[in-house]
Parts: sequence; structure tokens; C-alpha cells
Amino acid sequence: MEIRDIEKLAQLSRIELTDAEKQTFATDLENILHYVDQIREVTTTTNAKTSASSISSDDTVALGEVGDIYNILREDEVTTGHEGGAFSQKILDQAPATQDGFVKVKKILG
Amino acid sequence: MIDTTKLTITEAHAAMVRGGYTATELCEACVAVIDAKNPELNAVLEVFADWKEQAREAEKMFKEGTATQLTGIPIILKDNILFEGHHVSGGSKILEPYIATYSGLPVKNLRAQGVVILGRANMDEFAMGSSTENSAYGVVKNPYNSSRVAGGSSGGSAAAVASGMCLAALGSDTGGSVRQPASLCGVVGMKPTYDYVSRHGVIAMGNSLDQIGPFAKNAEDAALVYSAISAHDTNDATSVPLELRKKYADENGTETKIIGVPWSEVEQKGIDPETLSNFKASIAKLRTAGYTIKDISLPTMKYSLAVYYILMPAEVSTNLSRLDGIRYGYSAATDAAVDPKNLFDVYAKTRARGFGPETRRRSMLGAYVLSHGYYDAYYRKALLVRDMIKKEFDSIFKEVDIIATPTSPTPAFKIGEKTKDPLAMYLSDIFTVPANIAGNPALSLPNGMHSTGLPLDIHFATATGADKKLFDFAMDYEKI
Repeated sequence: MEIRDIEKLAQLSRIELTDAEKQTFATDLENILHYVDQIREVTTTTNAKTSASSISSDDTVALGEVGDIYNILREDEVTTGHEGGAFSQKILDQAPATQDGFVKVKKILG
Repeated sequence: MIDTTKLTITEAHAAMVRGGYTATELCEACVAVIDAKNPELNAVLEVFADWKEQAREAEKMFKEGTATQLTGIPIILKDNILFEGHHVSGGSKILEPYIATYSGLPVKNLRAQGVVILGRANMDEFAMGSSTENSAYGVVKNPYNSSRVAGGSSGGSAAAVASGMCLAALGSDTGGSVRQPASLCGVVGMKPTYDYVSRHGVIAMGNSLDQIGPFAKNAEDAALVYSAISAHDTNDATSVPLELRKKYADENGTETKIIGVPWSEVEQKGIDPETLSNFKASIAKLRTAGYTIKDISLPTMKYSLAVYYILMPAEVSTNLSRLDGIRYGYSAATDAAVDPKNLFDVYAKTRARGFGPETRRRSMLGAYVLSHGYYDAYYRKALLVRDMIKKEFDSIFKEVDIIATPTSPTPAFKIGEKTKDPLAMYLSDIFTVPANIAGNPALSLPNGMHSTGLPLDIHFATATGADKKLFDFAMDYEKI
């Protein structure tokens, strides 16, 4: 694995790395990938279907789901489970920076 | 003072019913052990300030006649299980300031029975590790030998139970993180069927693999805690519904007769000779006790660990993306020592400072296996192999009731022995990972001692949904 590959992964993962760390992680990841490469030996079929979900349109495989279990979905509807705002302050209390009842972030557009 | 080092839940319950001592006195005894041993072991990160109040509530339940077998029992939570109003950090610096805004169903159910949640246990950061050497709060030491690891990632929970700091503990098991530390510390550790225990209120690591499981001194105590936390939960989208639990229970039966042993997987290089001879002696003992022993072949099982190190980091990289310094925990944006220029900088500097090396390693590995160009070769291929492994186990459990292996290939290793080589550390979970891949229940029992004075183990796995049958068998095994 090249240093520029690690730099790309670090950027995707939003993690700042030092130059020394880039070198170490490149070696570590290469070793781990070498180990997991053994799954290439396994002959698999693409019609493995164990769940109601699919991860791509051309075939269906278990979306990391096991057995007869599948994701139980519901409509995204407003319910009367609790009053609006009942937990807002509790959640805001955990945020590093807030202002006027909002979580504060650095400006996104130039 | 009550001696908690050998005390079981059933004994403590009987004593409290008899009026031998109160819940407060029992918890005081555990806190005294924490005060005495924790400076050395580093198993517990915090004793919660309200434990006395919780103990008094438990005493009230005894007076009012509403006490259950768990009322007043001091239990410690792994530091990734939320308990409303209490600190929970996932063993990480990034969540050091975080206070849980809710409790998940397992904790609510324990509290409803009057369990005293005494504190939170040390762990590998975000449950990634097999030795707790990845904790941001220092390594947990093995109660049997402080130069050795307690295992991981739930090393604090295991060491706390083994040393009498509590009577039971909860951990989480994504690839063996309950069973392996239980093995290394000489206690019982159990991973339930996938999503028999709600994952609501657990800091997610690998959603398709994670399960909360109990630690206790014997199988009966572990079963008691398990019964209290195993329930369907509408707040967990994959929680197993009651109809399906009933179907599995009917299919699996209750009696264990045939034990399968995958000898070719057990007798591999890297297994400690005494671990192997002890395991062989245990199988002989089972045969003498009247069980049928069957040599089984699981040709795809050996790929479990490789599948795990693709799927798990993929799920980790997705889950941990929420830790970005915006909504909770540590943030570079409010750190006077850092001056992030823009939003990207806030994310990248927060995560560089907040995450330890293993968390960063797995986040990047996950990004790699999910990235365009590698997705098919790694992530998708791993899902397909997982499906094969799952089917292989389903089919073997039609022939055998239990699969027996060791839990850990070696007894507790030395602190620092594997930290330089992540892959060597990963191999500690070789016998435990298959149950997470296939979703079936499994447990580790203490099983004799190594000549070095460290505990040895045995690992029993059974069919999906046969959790009760597994506990029943474990209780029988303890007697032979």
C-alpha cells in the first residue's frame, strides 16, 4: 500500500495523520489485507438470499443479516410518544458548542 | 465484611432474603474490593455516585415483598452500555465528557428488578481489541497475574467479576469480547443469539455482530442475568420477535446428547499444548458422562476470521463516523490547543486526537473495503462467505447439539506481547468469531488451570435460538 493510498483513506475517514503514522498504518493495513485475501479461495454463488433486503440490483445477498431476521421498517411518521422538544435540552447539553438552541458548527459554504 | 470473591448471585439472594445482610452491605463489600484492588487491576473506570441510593431502593423492594433474585445484586456495565445520567465513554478519549441521555432496554430491565448498577468497566476503545491494551484509560491487569492481560475487549468486566468487585457484569461481544476475557480471567461469559438482547443503548461497533452478554461466576448466575436482559425491543430494528423465539425453541428441543468437535480446526498451529491436552481431557470426561462425541468437519469455518476483519471494520467505519466533534464528546473546535481552519479540519483534528491507533486503523480499513474498486472483492465477497458459514453451522446443528472447542488458543498472554502486531492480536479470537459470523449463541466456562497458574477454558456453541438449552448444558457440564 502506497502512502498516497493511506492519505486517501485518511481523508475519507476524516482522520489527520502524521507522516510517521502514515508509514505504520500502510504496513499494518497491508498485512491485514494479505490475511483477509484468503476469502478469495472460497467459491461463492451470487444467489445467496437470506433476507428481505438487497445490496445491489443485480443480485441479492444478506445485508449482514443473520438467520430469519431482517430489518423491521416503519413509516417515518410523527407520533405522540413524547412532546416535541422534551429531550432537546438534554441532547444539546452534550454538544461541544451550541447557540440559541442549535448545535454550532463552522461555516460550511465559503 | 462479606467475602465477595466466591459469592454467587443465588447465595447473595438467599442471604438477603434471610436477613443475613442488606443490599447496601453487599454493595459496600464490593466497593471495598474496588478500593483495595482497582489501583492495581484498573478494571473499573468509575463507581457511580448513586449506588447507595440504588441499594436503598433494592432494600425497599425486599421489605415490600417485590424483590426478585436479582434485587440488590451489584452489577458493573462495560463502558459502552448507556445508563441514563451517567458517564459512558466507550473506553475512548473522544467520549470522555459524554453523559448518557437514555438507558437501553437491558439496563432498564435490570433496574426494574432492583439491580444496583455499581459502575462502569474498562474496555478496549470502542470494543476493538483482545487485551484492553487499546483502552484510552490504560490496560486492565489479569487478577491471576498482573503481568498478564485480562483479555478484551470487555477485560474490565471480566476482571471485576473474577476479583469480587461485583457479582456479575455486562459486556459486549462482537467477535469474542465477552467469551475471551471471561476465559482469561476464569469466569463464565456468554454471547446470546444475535439480537436476543436488544442493542439499543450500546455504543455500536459492528451492528450485524454486536451482542450484550453476561459475565458471572457460574452458568446459573449468568443465566439469571441473561433472562433479565433478553427481550424483544421495538427500539432495535433487528430485535428477534417473540414468534421467532418460540419457533427456534420448538425446533431446538431442550436436551443435549451429541457434542461435535471440529478436530482439524482445534488442532492447529498456535494452540498452547496444555490448552489442547486440557481440552482433550474434557472431551473424554463428556464421553464418560454419557454424551456422544462426534468428529465434525466445518470446512468454511476457517474463513470466519477473515470475513470478520472485512465486515467488522466496514461497520466500524460507518458507525464511528458520527463521532466528529459536532454533537457530543471531545471537539477540536472548542480545544484551545487546536485551531481548526474549517469544518473538515474540525472533523480530522477531533478524530486524530480523540481516537487511539486501533480505532483509526479499523476506520481506514473499513473505508478501504467499502471503497469503489474494492467493494466487490472484499465487502460483498465477505457477505457471501458469511452466508456460507451460516448455512454450514445451521446444517451441522441438525446433527449435533453442541460444538465444543477451546475459547482462547492460549492462556492470558503477557501485557505488551502482541501490541506491535495487530494481526497476532486478531488471532486470539479464532475460536470465538464464528458464533458472531453465524449469529448463534456460545459461552465460555472456566475449565481447570494451566501450569503457569492461569485459568483454562472450554467453549460451547449451539444453534440459533437455543440459548436456554446452552445454559442448561453448561450447568450440567459444571457438575461432571
